[in-house]
Amino acid sequence: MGSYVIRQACLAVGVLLTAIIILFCLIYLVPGDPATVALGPRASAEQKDVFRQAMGLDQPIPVQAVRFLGNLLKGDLGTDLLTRQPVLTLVASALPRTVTLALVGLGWALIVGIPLGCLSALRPNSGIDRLIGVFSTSVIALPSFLLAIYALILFAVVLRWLPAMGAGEPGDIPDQITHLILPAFAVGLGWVGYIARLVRASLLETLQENHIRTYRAFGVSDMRITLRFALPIAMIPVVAVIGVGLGSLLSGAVLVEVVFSRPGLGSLALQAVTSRNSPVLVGTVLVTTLLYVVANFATDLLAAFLDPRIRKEG
Amino acid sequence: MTAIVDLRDVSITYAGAHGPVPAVRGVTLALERGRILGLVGESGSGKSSLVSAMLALLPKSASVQGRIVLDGRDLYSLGEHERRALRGREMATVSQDPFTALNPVVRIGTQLVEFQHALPNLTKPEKLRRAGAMLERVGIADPATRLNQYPHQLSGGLRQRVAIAGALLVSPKLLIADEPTTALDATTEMEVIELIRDMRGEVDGSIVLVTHDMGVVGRLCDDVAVLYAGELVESGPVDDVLNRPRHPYTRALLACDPARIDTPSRHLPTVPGTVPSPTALPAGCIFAARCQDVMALCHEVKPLLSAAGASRVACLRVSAP
Repeated sequence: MGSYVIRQACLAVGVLLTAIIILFCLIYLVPGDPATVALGPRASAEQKDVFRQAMGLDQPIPVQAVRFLGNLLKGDLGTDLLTRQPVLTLVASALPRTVTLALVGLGWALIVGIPLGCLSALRPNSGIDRLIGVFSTSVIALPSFLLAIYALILFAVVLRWLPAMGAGEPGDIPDQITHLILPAFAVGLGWVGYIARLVRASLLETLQENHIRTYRAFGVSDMRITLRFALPIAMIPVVAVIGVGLGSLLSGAVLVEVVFSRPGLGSLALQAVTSRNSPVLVGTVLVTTLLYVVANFATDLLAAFLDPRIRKEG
Repeated sequence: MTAIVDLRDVSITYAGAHGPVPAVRGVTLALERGRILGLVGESGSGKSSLVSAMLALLPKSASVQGRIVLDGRDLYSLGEHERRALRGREMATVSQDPFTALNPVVRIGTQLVEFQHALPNLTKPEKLRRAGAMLERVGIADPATRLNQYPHQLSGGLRQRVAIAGALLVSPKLLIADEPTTALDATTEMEVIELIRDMRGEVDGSIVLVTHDMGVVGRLCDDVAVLYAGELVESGPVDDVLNRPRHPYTRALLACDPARIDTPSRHLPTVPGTVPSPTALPAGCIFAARCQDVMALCHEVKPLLSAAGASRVACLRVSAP
């Protein structure tokens, strides 16, 4: 198990490095002079030169790249062009909110989706299976930001059950929780259907396997066979698919943040784009990438935990 | 002596896409307590359907007619719950393929404990201890390590030993082994056969062994039943059937056993022709098309199973004068 963890960790670092290099290249490929963007169109040529020297933009590109990487390793993501705050501070305050939203959204989707999938697989093609099937397909088809807008209108504006905007008062946990309910609902609902479908298909396939017949031949009840002996196997591909889908989960969370005006990576990125605040944008993209890599690493570990055969291979 | 298994006119019909498929027809067969029955036949002869029916593990598309009486209880007059209670308590099974018969993500020990779920008054540590002791009995060295391992860490032969240990752990009255050596190589096959013979004392000796290998039958079984295309064509004590095979199909099967061939030859003998489809059965004897001793009568009259010596045979050459 130990060697497997180390190998996956090295792989994750490699992916992250590649992502950083691509990101750096993209910054240079984007048209527009950073000095003009930062100082405005009316800045003089001398002012721009001073700015370039101060920012190190007059250096050759490889030198800049190494410096960029060095600064990253030191935890320096640059400074916000508008507020002059370190980007790291901005991102560090936004990151936990986005992660919380994504995790709570995925969490409730798993809690509801897995039992729905099991229910479907236990009675395939029954009325309840069809009902779950129709529900799943419907919610998968709904984009999360659209859902967020309708949920906002219904529960926050019309019914006034839940707050419409923000993330709640800092330090006031119950307030933060009530602010989390609607966004997490919007982020997770599509995933409920997705997970229910995945679990159903995977479980039905697993239940056909020979070792399941062995347990039946020993008189173990269908319920126990399904939950104890088939579900852990059925979850292996489901975990893999969720790992790949984490990217869309994060982007869903980012969109929902914008709808609910929640501070987080989404709002931060949106502000950065609209105000051409490139250090902040680079910082958010970088942290999102990091988040994605870490999440994939976590799903790899989870898959290895579920399947002893993965631990052994290679 | 009462029979441990008593099959009375058992037929198994599958609901196929183009109408019903009668896979097994009118099999009447009994196994006395303490004996090993070899169930022999080609692929598609219905032997696997028959043992699945004994375990009440047939798919939903199958229906069973006739009676299967297990130790005095009519299996198909019981409710599903009672049938399930019989499995893993009174009867246990060893499956055909040791590579897929064990759950790949659960430790051997946990699986062997689970197999004992119906045994009363045993705690989990006690069940694990029994499992370890049984592994040792079936010839697995270092059982403590094996209990902690996953199936993929064991060889095929070891896995089949584990499966046999699992079946023996519940001390069943009847052990059903469905081609337990088919997936194994020749030397491992011999070891497993030896093991089953050594272990017969653990299960009152009542074993149903499905095989297509007459050599295995000769080494291991007391009784033999030969199935052809879903019907019983000959059954009786092994000595009688193997030394005086009366049905032409039994003779043909024996002629195919490499161990019985005396003269060197470049070709392995086979039974010419193929098994008739259960949906297109001939009018007379089902074996007539492939039979070397076929008579004109065989294509018109269906032979019934009748006593011949110590055995029963369904052949007009035997029953008709």
